Amino acid sequence: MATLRQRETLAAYGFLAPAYLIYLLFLAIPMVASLLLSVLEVDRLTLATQFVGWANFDWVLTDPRFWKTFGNTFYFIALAVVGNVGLGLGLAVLLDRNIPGPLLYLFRLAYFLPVLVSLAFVSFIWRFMFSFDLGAINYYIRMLGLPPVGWLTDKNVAMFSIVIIDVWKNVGFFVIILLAALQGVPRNLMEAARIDGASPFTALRRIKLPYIAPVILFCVTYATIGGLQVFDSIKIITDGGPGDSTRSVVMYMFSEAFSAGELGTGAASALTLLVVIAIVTAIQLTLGRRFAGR
Amino acid sequence: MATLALRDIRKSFGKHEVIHGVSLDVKDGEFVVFVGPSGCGKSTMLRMIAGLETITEGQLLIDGAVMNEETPTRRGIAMVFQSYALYPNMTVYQNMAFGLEQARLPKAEIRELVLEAAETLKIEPLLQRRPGQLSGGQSQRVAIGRSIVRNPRIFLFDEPLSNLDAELRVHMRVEIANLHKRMGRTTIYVTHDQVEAMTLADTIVVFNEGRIEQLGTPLDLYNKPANRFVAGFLGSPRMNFLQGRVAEAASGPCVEVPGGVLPLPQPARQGEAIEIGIRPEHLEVVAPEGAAARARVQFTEQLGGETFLYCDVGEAAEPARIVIKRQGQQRFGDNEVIGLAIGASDVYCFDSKTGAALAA
Ligand SMILES: Nc1ncnc2c1ncn2[C@@H]1O[C@H](COP(=O)(O)OP(=O)(O)OP(=O)(O)O)[C@@H](O)[C@H]1O
Ligand SMILES: [Mg+2]
Repeated sequence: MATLRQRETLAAYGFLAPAYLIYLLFLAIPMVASLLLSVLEVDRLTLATQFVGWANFDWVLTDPRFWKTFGNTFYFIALAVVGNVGLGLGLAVLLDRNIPGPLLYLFRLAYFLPVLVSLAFVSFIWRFMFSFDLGAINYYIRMLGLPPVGWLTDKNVAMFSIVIIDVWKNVGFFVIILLAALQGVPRNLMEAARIDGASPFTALRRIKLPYIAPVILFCVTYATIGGLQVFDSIKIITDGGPGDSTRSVVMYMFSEAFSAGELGTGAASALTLLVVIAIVTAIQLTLGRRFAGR
Repeated sequence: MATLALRDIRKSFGKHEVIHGVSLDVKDGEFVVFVGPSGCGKSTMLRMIAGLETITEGQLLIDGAVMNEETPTRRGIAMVFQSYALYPNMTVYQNMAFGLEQARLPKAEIRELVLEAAETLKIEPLLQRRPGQLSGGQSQRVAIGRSIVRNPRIFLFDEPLSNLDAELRVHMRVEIANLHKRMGRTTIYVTHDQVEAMTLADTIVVFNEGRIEQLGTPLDLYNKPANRFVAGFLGSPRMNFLQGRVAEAASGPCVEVPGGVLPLPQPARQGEAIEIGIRPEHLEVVAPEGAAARARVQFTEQLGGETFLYCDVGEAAEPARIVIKRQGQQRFGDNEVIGLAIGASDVYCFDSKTGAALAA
């Protein structure tokens, strides 16, 4: 007869099993598979495999196109982080005041709604909005008597268009998080600042923002990781164009693995991206700990 | 120099009025303590004086000038919060310098003032630390330091010591008293602690439900409470209250209460129902035989230096509970019957309907 403890342990594993199974099926197995694939060459017709060592990585890391998409991705991240966190913080500060309950609820809902809509759907809509000849945006620009903008066709503008969509879709998420952080600043702290004679702006800059610095940093990290994986919107709106000006690392990976059928190099680029994400996260967490270590 | 005057001040949150007309004059250098039950409006009153809360009605005057609409800095007040409210991202030095920076004082002068205040409060070794690295007592010292550097006209304290342990509280209480003696600033201090109120105050103001019940020197309030509420609020353990009926004995006026008869300090209308109050320390324990009043000991609390006796008086079916405080270590058996005696001048009489003290 098993002891109570043993039976409880068994039951616990039983409860955990479904979650583990899903994890294995959709995360662990693909991860191990891509690890394996990255050192193999797979014949796309016969599926015969051959061990090639570092060759796939060599190929990816010396491919100028990989580095081009890498650069694009970081360009996107820089703009998207500033846009999402910057605008999100600005809006959160505007909302962080005595707004009547129902109105505040409405604002939060309005900002958060786009977060809930599917990105593919949003991207299709924006593709029409950005269209050169028939797009709504250029329609209004023309009405103002200004020359229309090649939102998706000008290679200097296209990435901005992608960022605009990204910010439109995601800023609400950051507004909600940053607003919650701002409202979590102890009331007495702001009152002490008032008694010390600080203007609302000084109190915000010297006390509120430093107080929520860890949350801001979390938002930056979160936006960065999201940006490293940018794919759907670009795929739908510009498909990497014009030229390669908006092609991201994930798109490169996708086209290697599934368009070119080179599963090995696709996996190698995915692992490279993983390493980069790990490094970026580690840097930001270290910075964060230094902030929080006060 | 700073006098403070409140003229019929009212405060409403929405439709709900919480302060119902408070008037008060505070002299220059006076130490005023606000006491009262939780939710009676002490903090709200203090925050209105500070300028953190708008004044719905009435006037606030500092040195004779109306200050209702002025900012806290223009009022010249400093406030110390129960939660310390130190800026967590700044060092102790920066915390203390912040207010002076806002006043655009030169750096050298700020430095001098901060160091001087730090010396007064003996927090120089802490100046480069952040609030997260301070103990509760140190934090409260820094919070007080932050308030004195700006040399305010009026100090406001909202339960500044209630987050500290008992020993530290005594220590800080003495320091606050010394600080007040040295600086001589007008001070308003909110507390729940009887000892703080009795020892620190020049004047105690007893609040109840948004009104002042009574104000006066600590001993005046203790000895001559204006009503049952104040009598019950000051003193620990609190005053015993018993329902009584005025009677007449050979020895003078007296009152029949559950458990016996007690002397009255003044004559009253025969047969009238009154409420009497007796402080626990005024009751003498005597032999039960021949005593005018008797009680049954229910249990005792030994505090070492003193003993609290919890007794029942009156009908065994529905007894009234009283507390007796005796010096030293006194032993009584449970259910032991004891006799009670009290001097006539130590019996307080209250109107049984309004609770007002009956004039002696
Ligand atoms: N911002 C507010 N909005 C609405 N009601 C409030 C607000 N602040 C205080 N009140 C109400 O005003 C009354 C007085 O509150 P206050 O904080 O002044 O009490 P207090 O005497 O300081 O109590 P305590 O001893 O518990 O600190 C309470 O009934 C409280 O609910
Ligand atoms: Mg309070």
